[in-house]
Amino acid sequence: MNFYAFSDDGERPGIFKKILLVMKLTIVLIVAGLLQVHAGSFAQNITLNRQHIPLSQLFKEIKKQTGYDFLYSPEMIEKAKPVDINVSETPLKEVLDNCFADEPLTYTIDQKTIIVKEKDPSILDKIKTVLDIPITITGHVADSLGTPLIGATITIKVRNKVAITDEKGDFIIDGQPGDELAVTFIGYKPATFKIKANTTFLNIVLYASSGKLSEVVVSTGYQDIPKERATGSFYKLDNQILNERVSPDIISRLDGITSGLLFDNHDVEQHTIQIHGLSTLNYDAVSPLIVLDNFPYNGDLNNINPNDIESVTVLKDAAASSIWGARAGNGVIVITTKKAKANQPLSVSFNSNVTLTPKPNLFTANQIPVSNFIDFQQSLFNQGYYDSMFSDPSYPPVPEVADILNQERNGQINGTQANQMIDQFRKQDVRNDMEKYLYRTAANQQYYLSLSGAGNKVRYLFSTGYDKDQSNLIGNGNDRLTIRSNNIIDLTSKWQLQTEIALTRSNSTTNSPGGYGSYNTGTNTISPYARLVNSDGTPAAVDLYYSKAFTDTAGTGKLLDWKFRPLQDLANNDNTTKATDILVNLGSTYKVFNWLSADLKYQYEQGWNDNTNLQNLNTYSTRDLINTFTQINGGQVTYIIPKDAVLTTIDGINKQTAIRGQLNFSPNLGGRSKLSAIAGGEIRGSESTSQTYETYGYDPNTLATRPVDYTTQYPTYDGIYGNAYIFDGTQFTQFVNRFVSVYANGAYTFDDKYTLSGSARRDASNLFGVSTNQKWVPLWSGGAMWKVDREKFYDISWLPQLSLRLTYGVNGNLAPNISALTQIDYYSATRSPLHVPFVGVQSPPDPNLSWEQVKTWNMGMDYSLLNNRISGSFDYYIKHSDNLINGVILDPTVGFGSATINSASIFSKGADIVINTINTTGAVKWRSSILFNYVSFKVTKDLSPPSSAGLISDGTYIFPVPNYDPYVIVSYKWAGLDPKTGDPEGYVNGVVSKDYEAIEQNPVSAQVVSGSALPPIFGTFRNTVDYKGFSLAVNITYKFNYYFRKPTTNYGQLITTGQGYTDFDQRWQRPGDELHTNVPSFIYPDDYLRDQFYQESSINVLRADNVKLNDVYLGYDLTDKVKYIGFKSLQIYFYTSQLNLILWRANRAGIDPDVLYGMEPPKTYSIGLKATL
Amino acid sequence: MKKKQLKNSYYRLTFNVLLMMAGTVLLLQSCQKYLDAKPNQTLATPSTIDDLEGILNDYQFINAQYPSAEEVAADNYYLNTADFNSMSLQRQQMFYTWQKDDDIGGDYTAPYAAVEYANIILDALPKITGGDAQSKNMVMGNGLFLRGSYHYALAQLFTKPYMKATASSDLGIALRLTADITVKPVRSSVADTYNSILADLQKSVALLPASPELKYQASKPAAYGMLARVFLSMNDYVNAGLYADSALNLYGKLIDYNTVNTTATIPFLQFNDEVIYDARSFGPAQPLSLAKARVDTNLYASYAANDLRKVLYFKTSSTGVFFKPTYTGQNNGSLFTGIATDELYFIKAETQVRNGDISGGLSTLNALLLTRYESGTYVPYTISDGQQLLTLILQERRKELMLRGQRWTDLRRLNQDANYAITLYRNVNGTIFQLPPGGLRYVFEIDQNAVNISGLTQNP
Repeated sequence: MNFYAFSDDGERPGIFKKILLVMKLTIVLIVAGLLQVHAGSFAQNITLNRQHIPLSQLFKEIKKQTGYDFLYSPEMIEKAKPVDINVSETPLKEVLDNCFADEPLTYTIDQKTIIVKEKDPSILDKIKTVLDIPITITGHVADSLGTPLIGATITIKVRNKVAITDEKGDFIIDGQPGDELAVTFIGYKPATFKIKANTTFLNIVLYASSGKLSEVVVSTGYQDIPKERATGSFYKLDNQILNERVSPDIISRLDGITSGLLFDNHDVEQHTIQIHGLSTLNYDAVSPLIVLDNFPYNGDLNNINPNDIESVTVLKDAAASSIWGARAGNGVIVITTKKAKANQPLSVSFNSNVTLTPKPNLFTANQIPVSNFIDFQQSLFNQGYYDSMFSDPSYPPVPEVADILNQERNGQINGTQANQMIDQFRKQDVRNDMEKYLYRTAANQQYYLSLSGAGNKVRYLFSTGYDKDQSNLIGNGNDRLTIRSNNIIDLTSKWQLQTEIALTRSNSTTNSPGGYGSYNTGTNTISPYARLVNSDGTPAAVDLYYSKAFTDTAGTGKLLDWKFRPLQDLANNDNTTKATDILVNLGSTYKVFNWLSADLKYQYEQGWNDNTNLQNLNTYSTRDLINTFTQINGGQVTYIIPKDAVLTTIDGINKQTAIRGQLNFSPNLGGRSKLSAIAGGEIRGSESTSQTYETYGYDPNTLATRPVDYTTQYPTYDGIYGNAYIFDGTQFTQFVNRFVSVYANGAYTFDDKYTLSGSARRDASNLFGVSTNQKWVPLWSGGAMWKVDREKFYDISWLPQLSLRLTYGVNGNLAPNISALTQIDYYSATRSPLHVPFVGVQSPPDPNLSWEQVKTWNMGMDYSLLNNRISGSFDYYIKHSDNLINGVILDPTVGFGSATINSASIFSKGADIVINTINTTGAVKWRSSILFNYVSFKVTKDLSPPSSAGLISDGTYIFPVPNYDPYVIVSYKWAGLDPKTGDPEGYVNGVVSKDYEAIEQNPVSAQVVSGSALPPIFGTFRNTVDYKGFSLAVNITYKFNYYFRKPTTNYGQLITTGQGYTDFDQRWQRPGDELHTNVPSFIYPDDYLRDQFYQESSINVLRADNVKLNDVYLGYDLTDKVKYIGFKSLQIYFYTSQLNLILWRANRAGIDPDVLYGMEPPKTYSIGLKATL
Repeated sequence: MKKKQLKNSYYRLTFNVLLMMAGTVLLLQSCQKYLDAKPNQTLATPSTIDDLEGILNDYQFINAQYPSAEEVAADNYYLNTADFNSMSLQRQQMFYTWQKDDDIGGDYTAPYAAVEYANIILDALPKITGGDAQSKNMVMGNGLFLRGSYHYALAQLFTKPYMKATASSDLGIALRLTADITVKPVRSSVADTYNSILADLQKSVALLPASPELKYQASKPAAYGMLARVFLSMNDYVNAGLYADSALNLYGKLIDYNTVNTTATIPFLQFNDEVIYDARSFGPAQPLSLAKARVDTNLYASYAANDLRKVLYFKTSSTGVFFKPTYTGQNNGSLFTGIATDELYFIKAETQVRNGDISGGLSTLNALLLTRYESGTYVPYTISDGQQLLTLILQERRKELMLRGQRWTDLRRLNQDANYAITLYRNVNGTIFQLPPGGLRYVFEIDQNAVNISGLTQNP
């Protein structure tokens, strides 16, 4: 490249000078690129108004005004087109950028020299330049949150071209370089762009026009705040991403795609959802508050049709959620339903899908192998374990193997016969029968239709959905009908009325006697070698409740059959629940002045739940009940309970009424100040009542019933239960929750750069304490936001958008069912062995009780760079949760072994990172979304443990030692197996020991502390690829740095309940085994400390870290092919979930930490169709 | 005109705002009432005498919290090796073989839970207005009765037997006299323990009804009976005799065992005629399972063939002699720990003899035994030697009070008398365990959490 120094005197520099200059320039370019330190050097402003001047002329003018020299080659200038310029007091950079935009040139600045270079044209550009053909421009229009804007209009006026963005906010339009492209969308500031020669893809962000109907907003449930001016930490999921999942409910669709939200399933008993980690230790109060359209939702979440949902906003920090006061300690999930939209002709949309779930594979469940189990029972029999059972007056079930061996011992059968029968058992596995007779392929069907449109003053939306769900378990299923109507009426120009009525009806049937894992009474489990059908195909009996010997002979034929047959129950169960739910929302907004509007909102919700469980004479429970009370005196049989069906009905009603009055201020402060504030008050009450009735002697054909005498004690058959009263199932319950709140919230913005926000709320409820004074709790938050990119001095060109947020707030948390006084419960007579009504003491008095408080700092950053190709947010938070109400172990001398009191504090910190990227544009559009969440917490105070001696934990209950994660896994240090006996060995004072009692007393410092049972690092890597109408979304989730304890057979438990795991097979049996196994030898009698030591030893703790592919969505857009027959859009889609495809896992044992117990959930496959007319 | 409209709208606005403010004030006032609603209709704080009576009706927590370790460790039964090995609760094996174990479980916690219930009632009572004096007396009497009875039950397990000479220096139980869980427990002396027990029971007498109409609630004869039992354990035979007599004067029915069905699985009903106060252990202890606990062979052999107790108390099968349900009326091995007339007859008889009334003691014994033998076959004893009669009464007392939890206390007190002191033996698969008179294991370890949290002194 030849460079010439351009100067007024036109002097040509020599060769030497040229080389020097090139070297210097190179250095300068590198330095300039690295440092970007030119903020001050662009202060020069230019004023110029000329049409069609050549570049050389322009350069002269600029030099004149600024004193900058230009360096260029004459050939370059020749190729350049003349420019139009009309600027006044415009910075040099802007002028140059504009002038060079349509030129094949670019420039850099070295101190006072502007170096002009040729752009490296792409081949496409070259061709286009030569042929001057129109170029096709594709683009994507989204709001400032990245939500695609559907139906935005793109026009190129000069060419009369118009395009509308599609369902994904994408458009295609033809134009020519230099053309002006305008993007408009109601409620947003229009934007224009110049098409440049190299433009192929435009990523357009529209900003909400302030104060207009539908801004780009996050909803708190009290107000819609433009994200632009929200200081809090929000994460919003729009309709599109929610619809890329298929499920009958909305909440499960949030799993894995929501920043800061963890679906915690580590505790088999209780699954929870956590926002920003745990804020409480009280499992009853751990869930976030769910808000549906402005009010907390009390009904069954399954009543909400996910197709009706417009968006879900997760309020993560205190500034976002503190408006919800005493219930916001765990964060808030705000669900917003679709609303009627303005300026829209009638639109009809339809969505339907079918989801198939194959039978689960029961053999994926970790279970002791049948043959091992039989050997085990044989050895127990030989040790006399079962001896007392054969004469036990309560007739406990005797395992079949023990029964056969007993017959052999008594000489009823010989050894060969016994062995033959037992060998037959070895060939059986109850899971075969279960799979065959209890399970089937599940099928869920979903249909959804909605109509929406708008007239002059009225906007309407009507939708109806029908779901039919046939469960994997034969006999179980449900269907649901939802109808919703939403209207917005402008009564006058100032007064608007919003109405919404939603009706849900559902029926569910639960006739299955239960699947795998259900046949378990706590002291007895179905034999793994049991059969569910006899060889002749009739339902087989399972000895789960009584011994076979007893049920064979009891009553010598005078009683009803006393056998329990799961398949007979399946054929006869008749248990249905009908639920109806009505939700009415009425809202009125009156604009008193331009700066003041008043809202009045009213909600009424009522749900009816009617459960009818008819158990006819063929069901086990009815036969069992009748037999228990049957009296046989010689030939005389007296039925105390009529020989007919038993009908149990439960009628439940829940109601919720809420009224809210709110004033919204947005005064015009003039200048660059903006203020918006709300203040209001709310009263909300909910009441639920239920009535349970048990009717004996019910004849479903004639509806006749026969009375029983509940007040007389009857002897039970053979005194199994001594003398007993007939159970009177009549029961009434009534719960009343009431809340009164006043609140205010305001945000002040200056110059669109600085925002300050604050919120305060006082709550009272009837739940807490006794004196009303105590019930009121003040909670507040404050926040600030700074749009750094709007500062004049800001000039990080690779990071064009940057804003910073800082918030602090105090939220509360309610601990339900806790009171400062002695709490008592009233029980009806039927629950008393005396048959008198009685009062139970539920909790001791606790005069020091107070609310839980969660104090949160949140620092956030929102960014976008590379022309919005990368955007996202970063949030860092620290949380102090104090006064946590937690169970504390007491000295039992005081009369309670534990009490739930304000005892603990947790400190947590964490970070959420959201990175959205547009990886490729053009024909293949590939977008990624990376969610990264980090959270760690530790107990900072706990009154409970007197000492940490002997404390171990498997992460399912709280480890109450300060400075540890409450869900840390702590284990006994493992020293291997004793090579002589196969006894497990640990350490006492650093010495290998088998003194399990001493090991059990080891302090925490001597234990192995692994880490949390909850993943401190988790997130999602979600990819969406669009190509020629195909759309593929793949969700990869990851969880790191956490642990689990693998299921191991506890010999004591195996003996008493029959429950064991596959590791039994690997137990130490002879010297040498210790080289390849860690499973201790089985000893009898059992030593429970030995069992516990092994089960809780470090050898069984594994890393749970994993990366999984869980769900894949594939859509195909047929709109182009069907447009001509009147479709606005048509898509078919395929979705598969619960793939559980492990891409990577840390443990080598091949264990899926999400499926420790029970069988793997089967994968689901859905196919569906979406259309708009 | 236009101006007027404007003014009107201004007034209207002012009016509206005022209305709203007034409304808010009214609203906040009515809020108090709104918020006073009970969150759960079945939930409350004890505020009426009915509430307290209701607590007394909570049978499980009021009547059925007595320990059972004292019977597990006593010598009326044995376990065979298979049944010993099948025990899933190790502490029960420890109790059976008299091993030291501070994982005491319900035998410590259940009685203290009942004491707390009693204290909740006693603490709440003074704050309750309304209710008639009779009900209040009944509630208070029951509260005191319960506290005294459960403290006594705890003393039988966790302190040395009462010995006048050392009672004030021997370590007693932690007495709980308040419901406030923040008041730290402290161990008292044995003397203080028994003083408190006696004070509670004696105070209750005056408050309780004279007849045991509702047998799950305390009555005067129940309190007298309990006092007789306590004084007997203290070797105070004068008082024991007086109280036993007072009790029997108010209620002294005996069941003629000839009227009881000998083939029934459960021969005796709950609240039967001999029961003055019904109470039982918190749960059937594993070793006392009716399918596992075998009756001591010598003990079983000591019943005469025409003694109906032999068939009403025991059942024989090919594998051994087992217990039948007792006065609990439950088909399991839970202990009847309440007050029944037969026990009072024995206290009366024993104290009569010990206090020198040999003929009186003899006739009391004969009166009882007459109802225990097959009709017309009982030959009344005629013994004039006090020592011989006492020995007989103590033998018959043991044979009468099967699964009543009384044997342990008897062993503890009789071991103090060289004439009756015995060493207990257990044989578990060839291993012999023994418990000599006055052995350390006659006092159980207290709960480890009581030591760890409150710093209570552990028993040796």
